[in-house]
Amino acid sequence: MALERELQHSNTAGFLVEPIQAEAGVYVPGDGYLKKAAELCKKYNVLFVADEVQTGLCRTGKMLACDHEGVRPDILVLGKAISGGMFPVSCVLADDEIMLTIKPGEHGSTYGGNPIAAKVSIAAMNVLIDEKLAENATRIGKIFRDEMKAFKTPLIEEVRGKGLLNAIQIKTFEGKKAWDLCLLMKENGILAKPTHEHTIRFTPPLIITEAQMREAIGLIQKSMTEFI
Amino acid sequence: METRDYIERENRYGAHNYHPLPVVLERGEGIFVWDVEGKRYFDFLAAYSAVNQGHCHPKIVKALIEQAGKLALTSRAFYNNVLGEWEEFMTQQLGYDKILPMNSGAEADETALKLTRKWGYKVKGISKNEARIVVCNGNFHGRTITIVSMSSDPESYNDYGA
Repeated sequence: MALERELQHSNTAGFLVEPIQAEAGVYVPGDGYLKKAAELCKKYNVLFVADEVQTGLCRTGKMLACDHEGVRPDILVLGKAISGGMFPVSCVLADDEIMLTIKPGEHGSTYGGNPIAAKVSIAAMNVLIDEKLAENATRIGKIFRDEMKAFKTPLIEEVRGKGLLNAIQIKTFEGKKAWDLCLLMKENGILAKPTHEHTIRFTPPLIITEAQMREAIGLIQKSMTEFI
Repeated sequence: METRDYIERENRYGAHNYHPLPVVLERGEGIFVWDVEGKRYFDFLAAYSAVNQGHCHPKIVKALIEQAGKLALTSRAFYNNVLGEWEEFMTQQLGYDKILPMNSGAEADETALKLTRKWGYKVKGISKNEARIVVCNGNFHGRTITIVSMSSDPESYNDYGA
């Protein structure tokens, strides 16, 4: 495979990957892809670097999206929900062999690791754990995909995702695109954003209840019916 | 002021590097947000997954307020009494030896890229300035100049090269 050829190259230090490409339109790699890629990295002494800024922290139904395949990244990148929307916080996690290659004075940030960030992040992480948001993302996400797949409309090309990281690819209708559907959904009380021309992401907070999700699904389907 | 006025003001004084939906929000709670006219919406973006815990979660708000009134910023020129608490908590939760804090996701990705190259030279033994990092077609890791140089999306990299 193409990836193996690149990893074999003796100058390759790392392989950087989003376990699910969110911004690209929520593209979920095939089962076993991440596991195989991580094995190849190990084989060729290349670091497996996972950008879990969007996919991590319970969004896909596990603490990390890599957990679905039992993959432990050599370098893990987290952000976004690490502070629950309260304060900009991000981080990199790695073991000593990697992390201690950077010496004092070689990297940093004035605000990085400030006391507010630290306390806010501990609180945000505890909410994810205490409120079992990974489990909720798995359960409610499945309801969303099942209901949207069962919905009969010529508008939907594909429903895809994992946990509560989902997207619907729509067909252009009379020149109207994903952006126009988002405007109509806004009128009906749903805020969602298109990514590229034909895809809309549906990624509510993970605390959403089943009743709330079913109400929202009704509003999304109503919008799709009005659209065509 | 109405929705239109807020949007016009942003357009007048702010850079045009985003194309927001025409809604002006002023309050959030849980999965809901309210606009300046009082209309309620389900938030199906959750700030690109930053708000997994819901808007203004009381426990997170409390942590912010308590610490903001006590000590906000020391820089890393000095130690502070809570950074270590977070570092210990995070490394234990996620199972790693060490953590390095930054602020934005793009900065953390930049950090990961620097670490990868540093490891490549210091541990793997790659010759000076020869280290390669393999990335994926369709990737999105942020907006810094190194990161957009890896992008396959012309909107991300066009006219930023030299």
